[in-house]
Amino acid sequence: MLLGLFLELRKQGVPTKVVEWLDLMAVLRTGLVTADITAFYHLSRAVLVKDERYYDRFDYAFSDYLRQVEKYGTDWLNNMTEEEFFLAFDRELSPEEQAELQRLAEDKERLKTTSKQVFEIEDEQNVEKQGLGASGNKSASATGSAGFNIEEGMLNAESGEQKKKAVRAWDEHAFRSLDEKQNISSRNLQLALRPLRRFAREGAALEFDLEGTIRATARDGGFLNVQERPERRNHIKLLMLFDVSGSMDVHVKTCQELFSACRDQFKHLEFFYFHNCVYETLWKHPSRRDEDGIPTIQVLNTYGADYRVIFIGDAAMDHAEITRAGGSVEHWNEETGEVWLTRVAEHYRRLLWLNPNPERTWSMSPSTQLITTIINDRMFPLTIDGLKRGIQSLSR
Amino acid sequence: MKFEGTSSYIATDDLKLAVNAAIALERPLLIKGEPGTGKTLLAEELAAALDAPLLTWHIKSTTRAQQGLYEYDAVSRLRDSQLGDPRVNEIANYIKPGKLWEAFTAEKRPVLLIDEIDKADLEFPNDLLQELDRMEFFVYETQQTIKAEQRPIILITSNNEKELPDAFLRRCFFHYIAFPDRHTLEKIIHVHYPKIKEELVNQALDVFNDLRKVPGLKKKPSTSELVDWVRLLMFDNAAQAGLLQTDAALPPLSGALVKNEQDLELLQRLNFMQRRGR
Repeated sequence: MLLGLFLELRKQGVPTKVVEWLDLMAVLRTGLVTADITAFYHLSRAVLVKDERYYDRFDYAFSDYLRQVEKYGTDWLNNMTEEEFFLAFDRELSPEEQAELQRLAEDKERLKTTSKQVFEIEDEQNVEKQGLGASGNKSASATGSAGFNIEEGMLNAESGEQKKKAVRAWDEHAFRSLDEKQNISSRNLQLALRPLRRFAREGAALEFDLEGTIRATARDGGFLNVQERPERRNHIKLLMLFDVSGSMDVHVKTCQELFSACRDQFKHLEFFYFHNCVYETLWKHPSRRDEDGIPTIQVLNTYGADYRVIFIGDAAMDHAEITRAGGSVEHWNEETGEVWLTRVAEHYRRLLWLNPNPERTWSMSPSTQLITTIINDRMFPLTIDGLKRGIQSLSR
Repeated sequence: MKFEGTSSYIATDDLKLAVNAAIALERPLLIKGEPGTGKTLLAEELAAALDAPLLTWHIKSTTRAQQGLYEYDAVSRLRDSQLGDPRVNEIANYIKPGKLWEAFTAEKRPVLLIDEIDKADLEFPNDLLQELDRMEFFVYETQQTIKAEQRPIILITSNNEKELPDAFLRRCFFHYIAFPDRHTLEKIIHVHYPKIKEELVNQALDVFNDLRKVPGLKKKPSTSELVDWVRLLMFDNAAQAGLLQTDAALPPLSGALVKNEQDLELLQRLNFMQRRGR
């Protein structure tokens, strides 16, 4: 039944559904693919994965699954006790999906045998035994035999010379850069641009739609029916505030590239720079020369509350730099960093902080925790996924 | 019916498998990939290979799912009624069949290409779910049900501008056309230009691949642009020599590869060709 592959995929977080799994069984039954692993890899990917950002995780799941098959042979499902099987099943599938599988079994007669086999492990063991007894011959009655042939084929192909062959397609990890949990870097800049462009286009007001109105009016037999459609102009005004401390250089550069690339999509885009935390001065240039400083108050007054603000910074500094007057490492600040940050957060309701450090390290840094509290939990990692989520929160 | 690629279209093994699986199970196939990798071309080649008629539905941002089924031309009917045209009495005269209708009622099993589905409204794919599943729809105005004689082979392309809804995705098979590797690129060039010199192919591919690796390019050159560029190079001997030059900033005839000023400026600033020489 190749169920092992399905469970591995779920473990890796690939959102494969039971229906898609049953589709794969159906395709295998047509005999399109027999004992060729690479062909099976491509086929299962086409049927089970519906977005290229999961391709990399699929590769990992596939190689993990193969390792299991090679290790235990096709007996591994036999050797798994009923308890273990149901434990894995319960763990990987939600109750709704289990119910759905049962419901499907009732709805479609031809799938009944297949789904029943999933639930009744005795039947499964029989199928495997039948397959074993027939030593790889396709037994017409057992619907699981197609899957069994694949596994046998895999085992046989892996023996001897073929094992020494070239790197297998899923080990190449060709789709690494498409995975959205990777940090934004020059490699996935293009991918990061898409949600930004989408973000820049939304929020437009409605305008009168002449074509649509005529059509709707005619359809209503002459009664006027006004139709509207969203404007097509750029609408979003954006302020970017960059933290220029040593470790941030490469991230600042990447983000500048990213946002400049879609500069024309925004109504207005401005870059500002600060060091570690926002105090009473901001700079328009990363070199932050004293004479180029602009008072933060001036920035707040010039750019109204309808601007959206995105911070790019690692939020990693000494706790005192935020909470104490004079805490700044460069100068004596009259008011604390906390006060300034709060001012910015209160003036610009729609605000977002992107942090290049991995999300799991945030709880270990007191300054990060403090900043997250000040900005009301709107901190996201600097990955494509984090960017998307952050943008969603900006739109609310 | 199996698809093996055609003499003019190089299909990788995984693409062939995805296409054949979709045909075997009569499911729509969703294709994504960088622009210029041959998504639309695939439909044409598939139709040619299977000797099936090709129906294309180009989706625009204003497209409604209903337009694919049929359109009721209310405006014409209103106008005709005011002119006293007798055709007004029969509503069927004003029902214009859409692409799905044509696909369902075609004599021979057609290939239906729904091009750039992500351009439309967010709700658009959801509106098509019922029709894609059952291959039938109901015409309210004439009270008739249009059912597919044979299920058309449906190819759907997307440029990834929008997320597609889950319910739609699970009804399709999916393939992502990755940018071709060097070996496939060579084959593609040879298919288009069988008499080309091997040396020219190698040099051109070297420059092309290096160009694609430049970080910060707004738009990376695509396969179709490569083919055009090679064609220009073939007929220009001076340009061919220029491929090896290290004192120019840009590759020869770069207008065929790089299509906007920012990228051209970027390459000039980087002194692209000179850097390559090192």
